Amino acid sequence: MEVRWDILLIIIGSCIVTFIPRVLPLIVLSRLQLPDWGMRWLNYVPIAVMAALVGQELFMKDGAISPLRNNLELIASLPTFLTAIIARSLLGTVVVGIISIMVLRFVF
Amino acid sequence: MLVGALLTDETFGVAINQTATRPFISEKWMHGLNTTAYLNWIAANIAGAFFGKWITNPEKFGLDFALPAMFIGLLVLLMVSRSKIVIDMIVAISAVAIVVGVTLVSSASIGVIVATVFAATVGMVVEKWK
Repeated sequence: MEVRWDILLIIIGSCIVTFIPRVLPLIVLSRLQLPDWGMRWLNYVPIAVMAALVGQELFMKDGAISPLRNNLELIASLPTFLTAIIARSLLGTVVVGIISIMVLRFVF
Repeated sequence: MLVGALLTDETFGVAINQTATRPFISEKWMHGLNTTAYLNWIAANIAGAFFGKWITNPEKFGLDFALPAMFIGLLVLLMVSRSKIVIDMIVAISAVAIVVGVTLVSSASIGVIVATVFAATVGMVVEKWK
């Protein structure tokens, strides 16, 4: 197997870059007490991040709003959401999501 | 420090779901979660390298939808595990609205950052105001 130095350097560089924002907050936040409103704000961050990522994935394509008429991802997200709510299973949700989009792409 | 070094988006999501039902999680638990995730990731990568050549067109099988589907799952599981469904819904809907709006005028990553900051603020304000 050939190892290219420039690629290896890029990987090591990326490793350092992502290491800093993951470790720094942990070290800093474990030493100081956040105010009450800060804790409450942080409480909503995971919901906000995940909703933003899902929203972008479902409603946008290449930086523009995808047309509602043939937005297969949005249609496939309905059974996916339902599975998550009813079954409360992560694996089940992913499997249903993949099957839904597969069927939709096959039909249309 | 080691916990942060091994942390990934997905293990963070799992850990957040755990903290919703129990008071705290130990460092040991976190290492167990992270190393399990990494071992699985390595194994799956090797499997992918061997079997990947048989799947020439992953989009046809909807495999690209696995990631959004997983985020949908994590989001729903997180929202049902904490008893703040109304505010959580408000936060989620504002995040989606903001991310679509900001991504239209800017880039996708800026959109996610702006949506996160503002939607979390919305949640904080609504909780206080209720």
